[in-house]
Order: sequence, then structure tokens, then C-alpha cells
Amino acid sequence: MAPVNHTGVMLLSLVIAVIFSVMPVSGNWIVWKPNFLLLVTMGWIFHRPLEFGIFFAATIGLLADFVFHTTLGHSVLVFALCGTLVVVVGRWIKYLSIVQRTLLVSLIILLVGLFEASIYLFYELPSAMDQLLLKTLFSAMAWPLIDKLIDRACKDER
Amino acid sequence: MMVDVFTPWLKPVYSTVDNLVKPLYWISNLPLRVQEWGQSSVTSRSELESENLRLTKESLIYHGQLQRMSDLAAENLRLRRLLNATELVMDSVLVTEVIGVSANPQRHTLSIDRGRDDGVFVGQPLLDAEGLMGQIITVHNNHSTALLITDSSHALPVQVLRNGVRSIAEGSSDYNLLSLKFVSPTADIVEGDKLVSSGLGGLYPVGYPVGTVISIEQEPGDSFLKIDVDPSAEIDRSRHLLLLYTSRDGEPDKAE
Repeated sequence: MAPVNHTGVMLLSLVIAVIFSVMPVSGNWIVWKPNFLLLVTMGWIFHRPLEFGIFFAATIGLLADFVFHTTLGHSVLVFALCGTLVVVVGRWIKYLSIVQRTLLVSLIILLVGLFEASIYLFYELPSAMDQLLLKTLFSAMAWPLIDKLIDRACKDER
Repeated sequence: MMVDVFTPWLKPVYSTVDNLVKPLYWISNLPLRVQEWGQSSVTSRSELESENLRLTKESLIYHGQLQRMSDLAAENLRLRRLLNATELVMDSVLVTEVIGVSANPQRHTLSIDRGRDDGVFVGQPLLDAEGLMGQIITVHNNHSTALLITDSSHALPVQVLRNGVRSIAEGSSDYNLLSLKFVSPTADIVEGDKLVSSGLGGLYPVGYPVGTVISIEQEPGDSFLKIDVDPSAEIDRSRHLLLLYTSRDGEPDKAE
């Protein structure tokens, strides 16, 4: 059986994630808004570990640097770290329920958030550390839907 | 990272990517546009009539104030001529709409739907209905990026409206907070003081509202006061903004 190529649907999911990321919101939602691009990247690595890995995460990080105007390399580091964590825990993911998976993703998001905040603190910039828990919470709320959609997309193409 | 921080070599790449993702910004605005369209489409006749009445009254009040303002402006001009002082700067504006905000909460930028084709230029001040919002940092053909006054890399010369005490208002990466720098403990500044742009530095014109002093603290051993300011502009809420064209004697500046 010929291997299935997920590039098309993966690119579409990334475009949708960018749209959600740049969508204008007001008030504290700006700080609490989940990093949709990171969540989608994690979703693809979880569901297709043989096709997408750390290099994929770093590439999407590079794209994020250009699209979101962060200092080149910042998102590469963050996405690569996240990709590494997902690759490490990914081998057990199929044995976990959706709740356990969400908790695992929340933990990764929290760790990555702390890493990102430490980069900001290193440059003596405000780190928004106090908003990290709420951002993680909203990311955790968005994760089941993203997880389900990517899972469905993978099944549809099988 | 070093190349990006210390050289401008990557600017063309950022610019190209910006142009490529412009349609995504447009799409990301669709839900808000649909919401606005929905709200305007289902308004009842009585609501429209009451709003019309309110706007008519407001228009009347503003016209009255404008007449008084033009009288004051003419008088001010005469007095300045008597003193051989520089004439007041005349400003014109262009309405623009926010089409995207930075996905990075540490970076306070937003994208607007006007660009080089509309005469927008780098360094152009941006206002909302309440006060100064920021300045343009990147210009593309039909959209631009603005750095907000609350970004931690932004500083703005201000003065106290009450007595003219000057200071620098720096962003703090909090959409509702600016901080005043280098104000000595003996300076005449109190909570509730209104701050306006001082015009020093030549970027922002003089007299536009910046914020209100909300707290003043002095840490033991510090040479300067720690002053927090609530920005006048609704930095994280405004969708319709004004691009400011500063000119003398009503002649618009040439856009770069």
C-alpha cells in the first residue's frame, strides 16, 4: 500500500492556525490566547511521528518567527523544544485517553511557556509569567478539538 | 538571531512574508466583520431613531465647540505672531482599521489596512478617539504595521498638562500601563495628572493625550519616582484608528 501524504491537509491546518493566531481580540484575551500554531504542530507530531518530528517543529518555528515578527530563532527554539518533548512522550500517546493527553499537552505547554518566559527574563523583558497558567488553561481547552480534527484528518486520508 | 538583531539583512524577507500573509489577516477579520454586519442589519427602527437623535445632538454640541475652538485657534495664532513664536502645527488624519494583532503577547504591534498607496510612512503617529496609540514601523503597499506605545521597546516624550513638567513615558508590555522615567522626587506631579505628548523628538506632535497618572511611589534609595500611567487610548480595544499627517499651515507633508 502506497504511503499517504499528509502535506496538503497539514499545510491547510497550519494556515488555519495562523489565521486564529492573528485574529484581533481585545483585553486580556490577547495574553491568554493559545498559541494555535504550536498546538497544531504538536498535534501533527503526536499523530504522525514518522512523518513529522523535531525538524518539522523547528521549521514551523522559523515560519512563526517571520509571520509573527519575533526575533529570528526565538520561535525556532521554542518549537524545537516543544517538538522534542512531544517526540519523547509521543510513543505512549496512543495508550492515553483524551483527558490524559490533554493533561500531558498542558504540562508541555507550561514547560515551554516557562522556557519562553526565561528567554524574556534573560533579555530583561517583561515575561508575563503571571498569565502563564491561564494561557495554559485555554490551550488545554483548545487541545481536544485540535487533537480530534487532526486525528480525523489522518483517518480520512487513510 | 544575531543577524536579525544587528543587521537589516532580513527585513526584505520579513516584508515578503508580510505581503504573503496579508490575505490571512483579511480572513482572520471576517468573524468580526460578520458580527458588525449582523449587529447593523438587525437593529430595530426605534433603536435607529434614538441613535440618530443622539448623534444629531452630539453633532450640534461638537459644532458649537468647534466654532469656539476655531475662534481660540485664531486668537492663539494672533498671539503667537505677536510673540514671534512658531505657528501651531496643523494636522490632518486618515481613518484606518485594525486587521490583525501580534500573536506574540510580548510584542505590542498591530496591522492596519492602509499602506504606501495611501501615503503612510514609517514613523507616522497613530491615534484612536481617546489618544495616542503608537507609530508606524513597517509600510507595505496596502497595509502597515504599527508599534504601540505600550510595547516595552517604545518611549514617548510627554509633559504634564497642568504645569508642563516633562518626562518619558515607556511601554511596559502591559496594554493598560505606561511608566514615567526620570522624574525626580521634587517634581510637581500628582495622581490624576493628565499627560500629553510634548512634541520633543519631533516624531509625535505636541498636545495629544497620552494618559493619566494613576500611582506614584518612591522606593528608598531610588533617585527617581516610580510613576504608573493609564493610557488614554483604548490600546487593546480600538478597531478604527486615525493616521496623523502633520503639516505646517495646513499643507500636508509628503509621504515617504
